[in-house]
Amino acid sequence: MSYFPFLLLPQLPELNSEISLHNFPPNNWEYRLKESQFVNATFESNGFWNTVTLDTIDAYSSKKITLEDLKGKIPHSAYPFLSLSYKRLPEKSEYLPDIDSIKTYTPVSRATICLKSHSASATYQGEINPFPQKASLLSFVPFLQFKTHIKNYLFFINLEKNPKRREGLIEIYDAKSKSLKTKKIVRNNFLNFIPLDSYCFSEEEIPIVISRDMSGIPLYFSSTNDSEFLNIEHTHPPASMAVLGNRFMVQSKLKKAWFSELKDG
Amino acid sequence: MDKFLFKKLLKLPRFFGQKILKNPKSNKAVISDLFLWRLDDEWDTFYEILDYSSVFFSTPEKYCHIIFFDRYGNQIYERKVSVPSLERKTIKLSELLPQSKRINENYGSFCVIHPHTPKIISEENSFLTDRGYSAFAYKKCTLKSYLHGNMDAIDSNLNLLGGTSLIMRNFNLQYYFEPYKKYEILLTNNTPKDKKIILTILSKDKKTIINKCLKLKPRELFIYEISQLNINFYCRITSRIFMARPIIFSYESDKIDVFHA
Repeated sequence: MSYFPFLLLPQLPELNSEISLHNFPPNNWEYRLKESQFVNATFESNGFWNTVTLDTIDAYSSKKITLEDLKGKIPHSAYPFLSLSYKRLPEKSEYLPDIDSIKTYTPVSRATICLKSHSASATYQGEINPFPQKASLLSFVPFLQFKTHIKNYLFFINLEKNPKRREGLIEIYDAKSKSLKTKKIVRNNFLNFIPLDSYCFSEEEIPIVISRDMSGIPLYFSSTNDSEFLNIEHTHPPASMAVLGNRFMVQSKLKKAWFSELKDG
Repeated sequence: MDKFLFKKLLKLPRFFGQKILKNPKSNKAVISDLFLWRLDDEWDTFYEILDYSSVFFSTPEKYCHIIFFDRYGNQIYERKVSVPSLERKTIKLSELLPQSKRINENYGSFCVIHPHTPKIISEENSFLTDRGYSAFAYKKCTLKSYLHGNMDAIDSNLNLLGGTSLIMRNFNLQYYFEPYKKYEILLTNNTPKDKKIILTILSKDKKTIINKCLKLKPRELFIYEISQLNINFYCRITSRIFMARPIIFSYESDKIDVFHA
């Protein structure tokens, strides 16, 4: 059902990215496993979604995919979203292929997404589903770490059904003063790499990352200069600050209020 | 009986009248995760406290309460903490939870209780929940490892909100554990009743290697250590806790990698 973003980071060549895909459901009551699945890499190229089958994976097993597995199979500049599917996906399509695969809700089926250095790793269990084109982003970020030998980055990953390239705008503010720190143009269907250390946030400031015209998963990554220590975490969407009731209306109102407050966009 | 219908009927006990989260008894309640604290010579824990009222354009909170529990779920300490409006405040828990309150204990849980619910949330019949971000520092590491909250576990009257299933459920960790590494799997009972939990370590071909049966009291935590198994393996959690999603600590010498399973 879901896609899994491969953390392809040519900007950080000292790190290796890998994804472990799991062909079994996370629980025993929502889904009964069928059979082996195809392992796919889907990427946008020339205005189309292109898919290559990398491998197959047996039922009740896992498979690790690294950059080596993708070399020669996807164009150098393409950004790959991995997936599992019972049926072979079309090699070329005008819209992101719908996937027949493990479908669960509590929890959703995930892959193990990992960055590794020579001596450390940073992992999160994740997935990505296509965002509507008219979606937005509001993220409060308490993850920046402030030592001289630590670097902080935002990886903003977007996936949409439509492969046509479009651009969005990420704006980064300080929550209290509401002063604009930077604007960055970002691309759809891509991992957008944004270093965060040059905007002089202090330890007392809470960065707010917003996009009025594109949604995505905001991953925040920190590393020591020597890559001895790594950390990755994502922020929740604002709806997760509320439970029960109409929490998505809460999210909608909150975004509207902050987008109105942050006027520099 | 129709085979398809029979299969549907078999599934009924897994869904009928069961919710992942119970409604708080008071409509003015606020909700928090049960966050993990680890404090000793090797560990420190941090929490990024946020003034949710200011985030929601309500009157600033000014303070909130942090309530600590030992690993068995007993309340051991409460502290009122000031919260700056729309500023970052990182709380170092080793400076907040006195040593005298954690003798012989190096881990437990805490919840963060905000004083009121912002209007934007209450007018949608929702509840404010703090699923914020804690961070762990291990040994002499210079980088903290952040972990987002994941459970809507407890309300401001300290009622546990985790749902209970009528029958035992399996939570299959979608993680392929590596050989010769140390892991810790953190389990929490976020339901109001004692819960039996079976933790099963399985080989690649699904043979049971370890079967550990536990009974956790409400709010009780348990850290299960797996060290130096010489094969890849999987882990399964079986319990009547609706969503028994554990936290995994993975070790590489003096470095940690922490994440939700």
